[in-house]
Amino acid sequence: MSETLKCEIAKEERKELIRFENVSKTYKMGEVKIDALSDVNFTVDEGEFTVVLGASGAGKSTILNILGGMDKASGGKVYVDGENIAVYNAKQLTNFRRLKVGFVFQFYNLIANLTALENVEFAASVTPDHLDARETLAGVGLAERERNFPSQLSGGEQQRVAIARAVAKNPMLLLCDEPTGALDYKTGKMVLKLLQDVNEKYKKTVVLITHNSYLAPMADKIIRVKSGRVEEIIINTEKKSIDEIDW
Amino acid sequence: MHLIFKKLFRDIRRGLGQFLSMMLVIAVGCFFFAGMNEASYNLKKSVRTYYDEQNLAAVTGGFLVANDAAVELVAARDGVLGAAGAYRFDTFFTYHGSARVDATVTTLSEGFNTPLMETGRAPTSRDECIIDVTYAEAAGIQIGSEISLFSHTAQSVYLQTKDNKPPLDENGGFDFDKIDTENFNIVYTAPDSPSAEYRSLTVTGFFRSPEFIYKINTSDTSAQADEFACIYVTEAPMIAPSVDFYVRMGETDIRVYTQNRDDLTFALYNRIYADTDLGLDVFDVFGSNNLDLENGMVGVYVEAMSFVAEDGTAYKNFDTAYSQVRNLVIVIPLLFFLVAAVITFISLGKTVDNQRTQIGIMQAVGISKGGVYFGYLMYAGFAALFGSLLGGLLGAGFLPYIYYLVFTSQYVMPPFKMSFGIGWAALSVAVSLAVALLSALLSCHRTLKENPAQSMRPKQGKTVKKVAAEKCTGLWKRLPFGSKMICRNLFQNKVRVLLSSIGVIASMVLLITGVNLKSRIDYTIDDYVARIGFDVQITAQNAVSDAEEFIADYPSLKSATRAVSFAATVTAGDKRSDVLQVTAVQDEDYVNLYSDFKKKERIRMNDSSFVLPHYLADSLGVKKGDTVTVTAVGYGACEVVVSDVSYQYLLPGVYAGTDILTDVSAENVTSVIYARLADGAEKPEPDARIKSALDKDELRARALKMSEILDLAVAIIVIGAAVLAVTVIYNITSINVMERSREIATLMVLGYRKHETARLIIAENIVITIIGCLIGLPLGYGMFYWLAQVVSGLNVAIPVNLPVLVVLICLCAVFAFSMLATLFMTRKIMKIDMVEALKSVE
Repeated sequence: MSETLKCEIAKEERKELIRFENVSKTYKMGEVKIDALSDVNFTVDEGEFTVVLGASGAGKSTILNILGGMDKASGGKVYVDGENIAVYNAKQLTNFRRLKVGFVFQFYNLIANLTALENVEFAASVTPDHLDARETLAGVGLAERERNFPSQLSGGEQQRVAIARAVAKNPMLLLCDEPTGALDYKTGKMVLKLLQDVNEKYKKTVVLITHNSYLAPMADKIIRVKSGRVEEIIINTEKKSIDEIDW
Repeated sequence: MHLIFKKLFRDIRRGLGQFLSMMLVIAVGCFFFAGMNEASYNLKKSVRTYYDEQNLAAVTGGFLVANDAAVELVAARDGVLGAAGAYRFDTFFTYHGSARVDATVTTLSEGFNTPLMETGRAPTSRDECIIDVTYAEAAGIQIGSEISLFSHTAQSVYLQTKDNKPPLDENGGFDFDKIDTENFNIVYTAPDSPSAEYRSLTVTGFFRSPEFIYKINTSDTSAQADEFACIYVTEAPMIAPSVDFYVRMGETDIRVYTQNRDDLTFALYNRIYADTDLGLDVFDVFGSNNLDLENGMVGVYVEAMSFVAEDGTAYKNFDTAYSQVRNLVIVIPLLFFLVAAVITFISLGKTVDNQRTQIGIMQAVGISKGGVYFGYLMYAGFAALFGSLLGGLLGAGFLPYIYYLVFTSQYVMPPFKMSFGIGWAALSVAVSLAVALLSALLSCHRTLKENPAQSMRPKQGKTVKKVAAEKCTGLWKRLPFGSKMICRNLFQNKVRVLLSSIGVIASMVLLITGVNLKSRIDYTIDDYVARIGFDVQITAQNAVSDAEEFIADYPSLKSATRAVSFAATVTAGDKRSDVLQVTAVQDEDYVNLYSDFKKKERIRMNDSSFVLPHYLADSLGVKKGDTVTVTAVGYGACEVVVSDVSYQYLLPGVYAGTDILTDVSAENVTSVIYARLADGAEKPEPDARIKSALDKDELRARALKMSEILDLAVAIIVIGAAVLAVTVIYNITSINVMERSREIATLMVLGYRKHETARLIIAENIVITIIGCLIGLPLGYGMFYWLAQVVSGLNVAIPVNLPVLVVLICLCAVFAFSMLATLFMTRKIMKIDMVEALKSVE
């Protein structure tokens, strides 16, 4: 029997965490200009699970990269926790990524020469108020694999380590770039479940980008992106557990 | 095909730094290979041609006295192609009232040792002479100048009989066969005696001569080439207007004969030149001639003064110096080619590895393996071709002249003739291409073995295992993550680490060799100066019998002693030394000799002492207490006991007490005075009594000049070391960064700061540098040891110790080069685009 999770926290109790204001991003390749983003506006509240949905090349990765401090907007403002990070210099962006952002990549990007536990500890050590690495790793179900190297783990296990790594930093914001893109269906669902649990348990604001529209029901908010523009923003009043979603 | 070239040029542009560093190592290697081979071949060829064109005598016989009949006898021997006589003597001259100038004067001989006229003409009468161009230019002598040459002539000859009985035959006539020609004493006319003869000669030209390619002043072997002259004349008297012959009978000298010079019907020589068939040695040519007065043949042969051309001091000196640098020709380019091979192997291997998917696609599309190989081989080929052309042509074009210039600082070289052959440059191109293509082939082979389907699949991640160091769990836990990453990276890629450190190893080898060579050369100069126990070396205008009496008129000098130097050979069994300087010192306090390397055991000399330098003792196989034979040039010979062996490195000399002067009948050889200055006094200037006065600084400056040729070698080595270290580290780090761009980008995303990220790369390079230094240090010492043996020659013996300071300097230099290269790369790290780096499939 499927369960419907009701949104227990009233929207008016959540603080706005992210705001994109007229954000644009243009890439120049010689004489060719590519507008990756044009006049993007949206907000994300604290503790929200937001899915950015769009086809390949829509601009969703660009949004995530700007939001994560890995890229800079060409125009507009990007507020995260009240600070406009669009005007940050390189050093400030590094600190921003260090203290406020946790990233989960499509292809895990673990450090090959460090064990699972060391990968988590390594990332956690950059922030002062990090979570316990061992507990976090246990929290993703990999307590018994903490001494294994990434090459000894399956794809799903590696992605779980990557999630633990991101979470252990105790960031304000968890950004996930197609986290299930390299995984099979079953493993992918497992990872999404984990992300949902992180969102619920740790109250982390999660922004996940995907091209899979079937994942929309698991989010509090869906931002549809097309051709570098926000096509629509949908608020999910009744979000579903990933267990209830099949594709 | 044109697309393969298009891809190739794009690959080059994209990794321009890597391509250029590969090209640079090859270029420098070819610069030295082609340049030094061309230079030494050019130099050797031009000098050999010079010897041939100027008819350098194949053999030279030393004679007490010889005449034309003896020359004809020699010329008539089987295997002798021609012979001529000459008279050579050491003397001095003055011109325009100048101080006395030492000179070696030789009479011209028909068809042998022909001087090469620089300007002017050869002398045609007995009143004319020619002077060597080096001295003439330094002294400003003009053609037409008049010089006053002191004639070095024999005044009396004291002989002994073999049986100590009168040398009479059964008829009571003089029987020369009873004379012991091995023991004799010649008294020469003194410059200030009433019978001294000074000839006025007009300078008709300036010359270079094959027998004076290296000029040696036998009375002062440290004198520079522009401080004394070599002179040719048409004729010169060997004897005074009348010379008395005495025979020693017991304690009495009985005059047995007087020869008037004007009564002589033949010229007198003290050397006979000859050309021979190959295979004849000196003794075969000259045999043991004797006086045959009945037949008018005079030829008293002195074997100790005879030699083949290759054993002549000047010839050997030049050949030794030439060989010293020549040996570098082989070793240094080898090092560069080795490093170039390693860089090519690693760089291309990595490039091919990173492009394996592309390779799979190309093969899937239908391009043959050969076509794919072609692209990568062309990459290595272009680097090798451009690098070798650039380096080879530059080296072959410039180095020969630079080489020649360095040699002219010490040798009187024939005029420079550049024969720019492209042979060596072409060979360097061929060798470079072979090395690069072979390395490329080997590095590509592994990846290209795979079939297209395998190549297009993502590569299996390398299995990472724990390293041995992790067993020390306590220590391992405490290590920062960066150190753990570095440790595992290094231990799991041992081959890559070793290959990466080859540039550092090669650099360390070159630095230890070059820096220690320079340091040891400097040590030999300090050692030479330390041997000097006086403040000023004074050469008097006339002979001095009492040094203290001489300096009485010079208040700046507080004490002095007499030192007599004469040229001699030292023989032990069948081993004979080259002509060297023997110095007999009256007061041993003025010479500091030590029997140990650390200068703790001072040698005390007395009148009968005879101290050999250690290199000579080793080469003759003698030690303290052994007996050797000393044959003075132009004087007598005697046996003497080696009283000690001293450690001397630069201009090593034999030191003796004054007894030797009597033993070889060299009492009247012009002496120098070793003097000490009064407190605060300056050295005296040349005047009517003082020909020259050299203080310690000037003697040190002379010694420094001798090391100029080796300075060239050292400069080449140090530059080579810098190039190797910087380019290889840059190249390897570049590959490292390329391979780990995802990892570096991940660190950046996690929030690692620039310096924290760069620190990982820097730390790895430091470890590679340490490994390279540890391996390079013993190898470097080995190469230095070999080079020290090669470089050690007639005037210098290089000590083979390796001071700690030298090791520290080399370590600092290697680290500096390594960090320089790493710094270049750090900027590249900072420019990694996180987004791009993280996009690709792992």
